[in-house]
Amino acid sequence: MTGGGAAEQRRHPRLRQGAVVAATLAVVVVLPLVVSQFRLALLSKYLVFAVVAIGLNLAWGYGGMLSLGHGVFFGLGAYCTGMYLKLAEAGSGLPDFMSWSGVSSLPAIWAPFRHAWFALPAAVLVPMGVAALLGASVFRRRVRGAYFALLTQALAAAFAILLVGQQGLTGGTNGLTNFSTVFGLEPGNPRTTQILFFAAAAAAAVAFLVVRQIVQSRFGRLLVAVRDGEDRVRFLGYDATRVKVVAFALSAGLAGLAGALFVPIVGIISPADVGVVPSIEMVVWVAIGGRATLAGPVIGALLVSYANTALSEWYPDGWLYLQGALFVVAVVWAPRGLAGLADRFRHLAWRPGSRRRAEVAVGAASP
Amino acid sequence: MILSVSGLDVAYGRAPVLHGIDLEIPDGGFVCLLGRNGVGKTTLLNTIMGVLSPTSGRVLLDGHDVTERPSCARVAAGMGYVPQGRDGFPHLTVAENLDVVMEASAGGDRTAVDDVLDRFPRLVPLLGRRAGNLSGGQKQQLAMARALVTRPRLLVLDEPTEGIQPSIIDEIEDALATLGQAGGLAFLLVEQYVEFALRLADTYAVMEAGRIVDSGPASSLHADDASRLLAV
Ligand SMILES: Nc1ncnc2c1ncn2[C@@H]1O[C@H](COP(=O)(O)OP(=O)(O)O)[C@@H](O)[C@H]1O
Ligand SMILES: [Mg+2]
Repeated sequence: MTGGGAAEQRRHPRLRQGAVVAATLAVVVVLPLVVSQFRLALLSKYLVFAVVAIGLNLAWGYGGMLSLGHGVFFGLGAYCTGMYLKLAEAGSGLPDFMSWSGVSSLPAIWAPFRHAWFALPAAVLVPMGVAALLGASVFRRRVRGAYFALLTQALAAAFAILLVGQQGLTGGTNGLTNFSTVFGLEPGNPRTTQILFFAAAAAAAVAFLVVRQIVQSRFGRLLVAVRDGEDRVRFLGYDATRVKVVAFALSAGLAGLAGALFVPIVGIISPADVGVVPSIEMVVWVAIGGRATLAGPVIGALLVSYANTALSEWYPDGWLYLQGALFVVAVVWAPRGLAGLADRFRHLAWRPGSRRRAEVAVGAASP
Repeated sequence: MILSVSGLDVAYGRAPVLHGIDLEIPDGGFVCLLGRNGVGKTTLLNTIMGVLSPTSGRVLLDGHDVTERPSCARVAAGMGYVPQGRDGFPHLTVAENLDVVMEASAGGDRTAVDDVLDRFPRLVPLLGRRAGNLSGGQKQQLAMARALVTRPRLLVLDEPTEGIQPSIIDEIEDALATLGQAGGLAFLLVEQYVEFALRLADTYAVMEAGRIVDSGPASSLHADDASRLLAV
């Protein structure tokens, strides 16, 4: 379904795949040796964003569910981990911000997050559960398209407001930060940065492979069918709602996983990381990289985040405008983003007229 | 009766569109529903298929009330729908368009796909093609094929000849006639191409402004009269 490049892929599929895997592994192993600790931490953050983008692409690119509220799922994962880290630091006492806000005993909802075995699975399962509940109630009523997008955006806004308002429970505007220990590792230590980088790289690889597997499966084709004609899938006797709920929940789960990694890597989670603006940025990564392509969201998240850092260093306000402009350009002139452009360029440059053949080849390759 | 519709009232918001529709289709019967643009034919089919809910009235399938059941349950119970517009899943190939049904439905299986391809041999060389790149006639045949993979006992079609070249219309007519002769399948066909519909159907019904105003054996209605009835 990625259209271009398929003819080549078919000729040497193993070889090409092997080369890509080897190159990726080499980069991941070599990078920590050649870049500064500061840069490595930034790279880890970009990889975490790539995990979000990969998941969002499953919902939006392949499933047609444009979510402007993925910051909520990212945030749920992040706060689950943040709560664990705060409690690990506090030992038998209360997290620092609670004492400052006059909370005298640990709120019941915090208690189970003392345990990593609870907090870490919860970081993925809570967002999945929330997404499934939301999806089940909303998709059944055939809320979709712009209405769904607006609904999720409102959810992101409400979530951020709730976090700010419940100061004693959530740390308010400051969020959860000042972790003195990260899963037994010392924050700021180069070794810790390296371990977290490998964790982020592993998460990105797993997310990529899982989504690729899903997209190439029967479920993936059904998801695309639902995207292109939800009612027509119903007329084939299938409950389209269920397909959407599953895909949306998986997408939220990946955002939660990313949130769980974000906290130890960046050292903070606050409402500013989970509200409307970050949620829209997540969509921008996918749009610019190329939705409904496998590599696009990864490229989009890495490049856009890098550009963000680079530009913000010397012109902070410019970034927001540039990002908006990039988004419009991508949507209007390159609906399949950078991945689509790369395909087109490859065909124009080296294989004129092969576009059509490549498409037929995609079809013939599938059972 | 495979399908029995009684006293159906349907409205879009507060604008009533259908008024007290009664319609029966016997097992293996072929009913064509004629009517000008905008009289409510598609609305009726969508209500029969569960896309719209009636404000009053019942839809019975094999005598079982399905008025409250969702579309997917009706299809699982034996209805097939080829909606107006013949859009498929444009980003999937023709083969995937048919396979998706197998994956989706309990009734669909490999032999169902093979049987359907026997009926629409024109699709066979196109299996690897993206559905979005097919011609109008090919898309219509694919839409019918897709609906047949679930092995329905009632096939509901909404203007399958709309905007299609005559040679393909002939093929569609052949396919529908053959399916009818094979038995076990009833049809509800909405058409504006009256001759086509009357050649296939055994019963006709005419709609006007949300009501069924005339019905009877197809042989009793001459195409000329019908065309006059439907003329603007
Ligand atoms: N989604 C809709 N919302 C409001 N009115 C509609 C809608 N669809 C159709 N209508 C109106 O209902 C009437 C019947 O439409 P329709 O069932 O599509 O007619 P037909 O299929 O016979 O051409 C028309 O007057 C049309 O304008
Ligand atoms: Mg119509």
